[in-house]
Amino acid sequence: MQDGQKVTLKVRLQEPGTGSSRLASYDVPYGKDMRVIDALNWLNAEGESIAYRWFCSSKKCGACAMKVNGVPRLTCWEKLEAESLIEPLDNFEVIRDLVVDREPYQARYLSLKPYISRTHTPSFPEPLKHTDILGTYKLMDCIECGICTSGCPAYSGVDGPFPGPWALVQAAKFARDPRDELDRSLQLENSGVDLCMSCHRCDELCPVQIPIVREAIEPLRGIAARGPTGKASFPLAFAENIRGNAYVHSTSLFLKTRGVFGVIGSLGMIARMFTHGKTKLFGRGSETARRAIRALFAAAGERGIT
Amino acid sequence: MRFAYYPGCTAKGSTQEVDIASRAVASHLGIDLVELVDAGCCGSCEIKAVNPDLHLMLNARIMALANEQDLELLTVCDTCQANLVATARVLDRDQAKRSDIVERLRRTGVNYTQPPRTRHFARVLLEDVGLQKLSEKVVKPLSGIRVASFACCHTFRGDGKDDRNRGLLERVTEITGADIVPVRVDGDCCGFHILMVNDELAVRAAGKFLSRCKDEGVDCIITSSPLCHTAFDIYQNAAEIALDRKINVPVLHFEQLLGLSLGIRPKRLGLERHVVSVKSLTSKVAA
Repeated sequence: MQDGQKVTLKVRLQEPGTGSSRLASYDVPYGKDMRVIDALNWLNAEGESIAYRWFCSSKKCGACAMKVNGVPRLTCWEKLEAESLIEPLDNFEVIRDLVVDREPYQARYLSLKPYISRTHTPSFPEPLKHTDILGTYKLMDCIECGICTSGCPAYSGVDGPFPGPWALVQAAKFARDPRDELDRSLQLENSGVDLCMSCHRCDELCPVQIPIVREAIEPLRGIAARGPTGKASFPLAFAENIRGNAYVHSTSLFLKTRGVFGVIGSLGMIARMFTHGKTKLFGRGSETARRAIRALFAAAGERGIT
Repeated sequence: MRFAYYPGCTAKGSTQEVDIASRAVASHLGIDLVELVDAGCCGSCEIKAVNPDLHLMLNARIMALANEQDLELLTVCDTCQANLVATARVLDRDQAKRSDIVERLRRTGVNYTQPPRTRHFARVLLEDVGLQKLSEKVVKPLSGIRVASFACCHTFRGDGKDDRNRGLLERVTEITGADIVPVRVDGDCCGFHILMVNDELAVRAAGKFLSRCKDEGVDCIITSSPLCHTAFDIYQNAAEIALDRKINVPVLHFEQLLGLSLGIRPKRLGLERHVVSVKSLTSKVAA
């Protein structure tokens, strides 16, 4: 595109409290290296009153996250195209136009105690090497833009069962910090962290490239799995299933996870699976395979459900 | 062509038809699959959460077994493929971790040296057999069959991703002559990994894709992962109940669709093993 060329910006506008929105179309003169936020700023400088958040314009504050052509992005870092559709983030309530309500979400992640909790006052300087907190390094890059949660297929709103990746990154920063003394297993097993679908969409969308599933969600799932009530212990049940069979035996895993009542509730599906040869009562791997897998469990120090 | 074949758990359990069809297609194309019979599970996503080292060891052992055969590794599950590749990457990148894992494996009698070249069957077909040769083998072009493809998220996201995998499943499908209907959007997930934990949430995720497939009037869905297949086929009825909508769209493994176009009989492809009947599709193919 060339300087001065007209580009089209379609913006979804919504009045507060109405719940209904409309698309407004604007022409904006393109300037070299123009970003989406520049186009919105130009429109308001020309007299429009589109509501949106922005501050740093340098991918640091996380305020300007919106959907650009259907994908959640930081508009300060998103190149302006000849045609752009700008909408508020999915999975959040809209306050007005492109401004979403972050408060209920922030309240939810505060329930995950995103702070270091310890009982003693450390000496100064605290004897802490940078290698001690390697597990939290990438997580500290989080700019809390909310893009990961906006694009997450497991997240179904602030009252839904899954807390969303943004909250889990905040929780993991402190749960993985060696200075933290809080036993977070009970809190995490009730958090819904075990409902991550492992699709890695959050990793893909994160504007600061945090490997969210590996660095935040998997470690938290591991803590939750060993929680006191066993509510989030599916990964351990899965591991036990492998230790015993070498391969997944879905019938016994289903029974272990759902219990007898769960099985009764799924009898229709189970009958269809048996009819089509999709499950067997007994399905253990060979003795050779089971011995080899058990040896790996022992060598890895996996203690299982204790 | 000869490969160490790692079918994984699902292809030997609830979706044996992917094993059956892969063997049929491989045999038809002169590819020799040497199964790693006692390889065990790759750990899926769950063992990575409870014991990352165990996860590395499970996958490193599978690769070591392929090395014992002096063969490249061939997979038929996107998640197994991603776990194996991710493990190879960690052990290549982190020398301290590698030394530790190699030593612990050695004590169990496993000798991990280097990762074998590890590829999904779809990639092997495109890279080693080639588009031209595959196209020449097609005796029953599936023109007019409308197909929605669904590759697992783990092929192009996460630690085992390969950016070249975007569009891979579609390129294999093109060989069959079928019409590819772009249904999948980036935010789609089949929900498989939480099916046992919260099937309500899982089928709601799968239902979004299934519902769009219905809207588009596709004849079938194809997958390159037996896990996604499970979510869309075995749990399709649950998705229908959640959506309050009849879907009834057959779900095939890509090997089965390719096999049909190669003229392999449906019975040799395990098509009768699906929970959602494939009769509407096979009738259309036979017409």
